[in-house]
Amino acid sequence: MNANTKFRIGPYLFILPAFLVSFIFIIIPLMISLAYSFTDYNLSSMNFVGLSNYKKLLTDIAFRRALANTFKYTFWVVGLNAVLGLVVAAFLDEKWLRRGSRIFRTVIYTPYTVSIVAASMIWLYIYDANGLLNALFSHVGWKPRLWLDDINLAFPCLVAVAVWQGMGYCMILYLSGFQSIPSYLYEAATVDGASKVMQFFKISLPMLAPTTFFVLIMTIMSSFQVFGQVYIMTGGGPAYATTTLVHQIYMNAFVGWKMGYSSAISVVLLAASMLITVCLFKYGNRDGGAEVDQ
Amino acid sequence: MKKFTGILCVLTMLVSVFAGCAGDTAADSTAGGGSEVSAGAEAVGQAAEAPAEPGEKVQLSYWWGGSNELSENWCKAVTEMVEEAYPNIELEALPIAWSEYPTKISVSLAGGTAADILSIGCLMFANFDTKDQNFLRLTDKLEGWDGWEDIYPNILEAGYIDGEFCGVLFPEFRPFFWRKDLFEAAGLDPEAPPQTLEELYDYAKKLSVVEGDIVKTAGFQVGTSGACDQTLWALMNINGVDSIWDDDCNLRLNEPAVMECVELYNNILQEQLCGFQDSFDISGSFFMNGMAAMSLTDACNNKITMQQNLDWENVGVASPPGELTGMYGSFITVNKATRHEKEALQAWEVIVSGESMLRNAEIIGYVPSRVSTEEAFLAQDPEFNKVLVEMLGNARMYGKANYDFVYLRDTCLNPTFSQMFYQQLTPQQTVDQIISMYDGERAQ
Repeated sequence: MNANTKFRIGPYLFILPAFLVSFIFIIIPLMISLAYSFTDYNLSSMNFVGLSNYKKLLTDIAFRRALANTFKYTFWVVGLNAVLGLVVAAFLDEKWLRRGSRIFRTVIYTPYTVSIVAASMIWLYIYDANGLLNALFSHVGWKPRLWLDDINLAFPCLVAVAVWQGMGYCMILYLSGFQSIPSYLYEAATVDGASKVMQFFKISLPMLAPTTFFVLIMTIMSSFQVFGQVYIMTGGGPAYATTTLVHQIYMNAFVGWKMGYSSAISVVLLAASMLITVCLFKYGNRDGGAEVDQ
Repeated sequence: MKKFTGILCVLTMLVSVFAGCAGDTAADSTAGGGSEVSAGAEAVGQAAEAPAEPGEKVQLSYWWGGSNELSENWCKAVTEMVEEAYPNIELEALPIAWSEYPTKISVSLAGGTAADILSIGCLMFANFDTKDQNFLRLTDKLEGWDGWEDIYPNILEAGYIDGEFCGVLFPEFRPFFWRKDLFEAAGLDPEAPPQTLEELYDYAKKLSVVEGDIVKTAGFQVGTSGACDQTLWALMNINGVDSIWDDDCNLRLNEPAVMECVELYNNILQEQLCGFQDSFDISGSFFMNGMAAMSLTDACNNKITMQQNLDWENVGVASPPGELTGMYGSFITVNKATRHEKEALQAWEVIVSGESMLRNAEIIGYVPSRVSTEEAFLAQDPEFNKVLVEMLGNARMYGKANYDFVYLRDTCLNPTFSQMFYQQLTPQQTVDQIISMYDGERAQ
């Protein structure tokens, strides 16, 4: 065995702490959760119930709504955050705006630093029947609305909060992506007569593919886990209009004490997240398909 | 050498991680029943499992649901009363916010770290007990206890789970509150509240004020934010229905008298005789905030807040229409896992004594449920308490202790009613869906 192939214990020892922490706090709970999903564990007793928790999922109205809402929420939040983040970053990267871009960046990024609870409370005041938004509506002569109690408006209201809060993060990522694109590509394109729009679609977008991939992975994962604003602002209502998978996990586990059933929902959430992540890794464009000599 | 140092560093880090995770076993050993024996200032975990020696002080804990100043005052009062009656007991009384109460109680009972004496929200009494019996069965342990004779029979009856007495209820009632000034403004007699469901509905129509989509004054306050069971129960009582489930815990929702109530409930919202409470950033109910003209769902122990928020002279108070009346409150019970059963029972007896009930009525506003305390209770606030004493003998809970109540309320009733309010389901479909979900769960 030569020096290159000889087994060296050192590197393994270095990753051992991280591995152990992951194993103890992620892998083991995950396995336990999987095991619980086949039981009726309710904090005091536990019996093996086979697949009945999973069978119940098929007929549970709350779960079906939660699943649909989670995908819908992810679609809108990821889409809006990515598109708006990209557009705003593109503007802020413009030479004529660069001088003031620091202020804009700070203003747009600040909501991301606000905790979910604080942000939700602020928006509760805004959406209140006697709140800021209705005051504004009344001022311009429009009819006030029951924002969070309107079955058609509650969900968009939550999406708006998520976009307000998350767009800054996407914008910062895209901005750094823009700034890493070599300027000579744009110069060459300008010499060749390419318009600004064409430059954006033919140079910026492909070059930003790795950033887009990262943005998608991060926002999809965080959207799948949405809970705080749902719990605080709507409690999953009205009539299941805003309930999500994590909200249902919480409700079943800590309100209904159905740990087994709640674990089954967790397993579905994990499976859905993994499926999407695997698809993104397999079919996503991670390198942008373009290589540039620096 | 570098390699050796690296390995040493990693091993040191590992040891640190595990040392950090291990926790303090001595401290952990004091948990369980939340009690410990302390000899002087030092309490040693291992000693907690041993019975108290003569002269030693037994430390007990007591959790009370509620987190405001009144709850803190009540906890202080309880501590004084218990420690005065039993100098060998040190009581640590702790108010716990209702928002975190269910989680804290369920997790601590499962983990064996709950307090020795607990106050448990009445509707969830059986749920917290679970079929594993978390609460001490008191039937045979209270020989000679004066409560058997002195406490109202309906209050005692409420404390039974599966035929075993488990705790005394500190009851609170929901009288009929109405705003005399709003009655006058609507052309109604301010001294004559409605007596039937039909009258209630008519009055609500006359009293409600709507601007656009927003109900500015609710004619009759109904629950829309997770308390549908309370509104339904109040309406059912007026309509002469005396339980939500029968003695076998089968729901009675599809009975005609209940269906009438469900339809009325729905109509009140569809016709904007009440708004959706979630839309308003208010703490407390519409009525407590001056935004409703009539209420059957405000607890009597919210009187102090109402007096602060409303012109109390303009508030009418009476027993709800009809002969039946609902009952809520908190059970005072003993944790089966307590390590000091004798002392816990002694402290429990003090907490449910007449003197303690009167102190509680004074501080928090629960209704003393002993015959012997009636006179003193009436003296505290003759006009208001007279109504409560009238309600005391007839008051009843939703039915016998039901292990599936939380599922019924949080998973079946509230969300399905919400679907009805938003016209996704008719009242009949709503009731059918609730029964189907509930029966399905019970069958499982």
